[in-house]
Amino acid sequence: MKAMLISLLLSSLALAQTAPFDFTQQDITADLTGAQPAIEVNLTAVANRSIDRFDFLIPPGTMEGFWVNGTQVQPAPHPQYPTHLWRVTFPTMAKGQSAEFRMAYKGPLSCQIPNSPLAQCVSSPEGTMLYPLTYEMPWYFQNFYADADANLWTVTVRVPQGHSAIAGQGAATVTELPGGAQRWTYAAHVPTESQFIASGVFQAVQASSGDRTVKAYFTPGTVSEDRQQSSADLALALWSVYAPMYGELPIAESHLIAAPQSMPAGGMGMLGNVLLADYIFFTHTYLIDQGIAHEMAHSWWGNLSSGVFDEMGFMSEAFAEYSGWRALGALRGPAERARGMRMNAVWYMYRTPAGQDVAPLSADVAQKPGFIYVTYHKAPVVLRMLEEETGPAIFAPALRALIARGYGQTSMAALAEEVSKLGGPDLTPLIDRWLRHTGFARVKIAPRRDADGVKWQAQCEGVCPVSLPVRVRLPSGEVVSSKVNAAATRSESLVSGEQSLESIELDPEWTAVREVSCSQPSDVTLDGTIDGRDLLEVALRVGGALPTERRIDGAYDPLYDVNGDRRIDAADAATVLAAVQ
Amino acid sequence: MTRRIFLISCFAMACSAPPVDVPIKGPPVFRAPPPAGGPALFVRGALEGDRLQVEVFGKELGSIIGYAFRIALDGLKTQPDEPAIIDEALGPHTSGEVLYLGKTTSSSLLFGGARLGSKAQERAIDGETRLAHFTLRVPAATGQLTLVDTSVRRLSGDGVVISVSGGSIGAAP
Repeated sequence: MKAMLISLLLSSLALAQTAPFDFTQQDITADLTGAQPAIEVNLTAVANRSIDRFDFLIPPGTMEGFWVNGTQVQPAPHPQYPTHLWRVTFPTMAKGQSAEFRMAYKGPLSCQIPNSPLAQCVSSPEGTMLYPLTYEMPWYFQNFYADADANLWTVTVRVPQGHSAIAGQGAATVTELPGGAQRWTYAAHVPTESQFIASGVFQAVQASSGDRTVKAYFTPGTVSEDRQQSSADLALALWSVYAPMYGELPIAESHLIAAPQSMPAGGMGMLGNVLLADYIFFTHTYLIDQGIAHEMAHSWWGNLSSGVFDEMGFMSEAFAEYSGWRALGALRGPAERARGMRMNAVWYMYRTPAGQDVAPLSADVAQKPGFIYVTYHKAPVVLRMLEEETGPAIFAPALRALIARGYGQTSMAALAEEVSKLGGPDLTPLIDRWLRHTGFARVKIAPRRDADGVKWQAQCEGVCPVSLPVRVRLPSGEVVSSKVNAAATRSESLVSGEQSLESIELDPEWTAVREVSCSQPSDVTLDGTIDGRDLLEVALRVGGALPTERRIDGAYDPLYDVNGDRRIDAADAATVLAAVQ
Repeated sequence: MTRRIFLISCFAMACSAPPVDVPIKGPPVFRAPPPAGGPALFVRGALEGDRLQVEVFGKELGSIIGYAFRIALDGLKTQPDEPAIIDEALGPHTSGEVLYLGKTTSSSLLFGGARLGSKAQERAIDGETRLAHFTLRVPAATGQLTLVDTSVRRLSGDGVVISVSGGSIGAAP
């Protein structure tokens, strides 16, 4: 995530060059027992080249001092970014030389983000939240360096009596201190570049299975005990799905934390830690499951592995979203996964503001207003399409191999390599077509029946050609699966040789970012006749509507919105009735 | 008992070729096999002169959101002056929660009923429930009525696997 910040701040610099320092160890100490927090950060780093300066993000508190190898130095505003960065200078260090940086600052912390209801931290007698960097935050103060580099670390938090502290990877070592205070110490098992601290008085529940435990923390009296427990249970169940899918985490304890609604993101995920804004548990409950699934997936996508510089946001967010619905589908069945894919595809296709579509893998995508639409909503469905094209038997181990490449090493080209190594298809053309360009596929079907069965003329506009699964339901209950290719040039193919069939569905699991329509809009069964079966298909979807809010599943599928008014309702069913042949 | 009778007849006929159609001797009658066990769509009919009164039933369908079927006619004719009637088996259409489809052409009749979406919820059809009834003209001594393009769906989207049986007109044995 830090690299994203750099891209925002320092886009004019040559960022691909080697980072000036290799961070090897970071030890963070926070004393939260006093009236104001006192924070100290010790960083060990090795110079990657000859260098005499170190840039870091301006902390929100009062600086007490900055030391380089034990010598106090005076930070000065960065010449180019004085509102965001400070710079310290020191006698030139040679390449390979080790340096000790130490910074101490104390509260009061200025947490509020200007002109925003959001805060980059919370500091009150009831609790302290120090968040990691988010895409939206102009700066942050814990992992406060201008350069990104994963490192091993410890976080030690001293809290007053009755408070708990959650800070990272696995379980804490808790030490009783005089006066009822406690010291909670966490150590990193694997290097990461993000740390956080969440402390305060919490209501906690836990769920355990085998060697895995999830502890969930909520502000007392804010979330029903049932919801607390079901959230912890879901986090545990998802962990149990992800572990065989992507590999075991190096921890035995995971944390789910309800953070104040001022948190600058709806959720954050950091190797076994999931922070979700508390309003999700009260008013936006539709976000609970997808939020936990997405944020937990960041343990593998963003922590154990992450993207190369240009693809860092993509490799974390698109894969976390793809994985979240994959895991929910594994838990609850393919319909749940299809629901998530449809929700994402529909939001991208119909809610991306005009002129804001952008290629998900374009170099400056994070700075574009369409970033969210294409990264969180289009891209996961494209990944689903790549899975469909590859087949799960190859795609699943390819994803594991991709994760094994580690921090800062993943990319879509690397995924294509892994698939190819396992004997799968060359995904490069699909990646280029779908992720290095804008748009989606509009597939129009012109069905007809004859003595041979049902034939389709399929035509694609937009991102083409596209190969989509076809599912034919027979009255016997049998389901016959096949594929159809839709290209810019119309072509006819036999879809089913059956004269008697219940329905034909094109891409029912939403494996692509596509819009399907029929030459006769009321023929939603795509079988060349309009009858009661079409009425049934529309009736099944009545109540669906194109959502106006992100991440709400409006159960909207444009195929069944026969009159095109963005709602699937009685009027659509009536339109089918009127069109019955 | 049934098996024994079958065996006896088998011995008597020396298990030769299946019986051939016997010449029409008596007046035509309407025959419809009784429905099989489990979920089914089936018909019952009564022949009065050249008019055949037909009723279509569903049974043991369970909780469903709707059904659809077509009656294909062979040797039978629809009655333009006597429209087919669809029974409101899924609730009154005036509720706004249900739509019914009834459409007659010269060679077939289309029927359907659908409760609209999850808000409307499913409706159970367990016992024998009439779904539609209509009158056909019987211009000849033989004819056939077949249920095709059937679909019965639950709110989940799952299809209900049903057995289907139509009926035919032929000579009385």
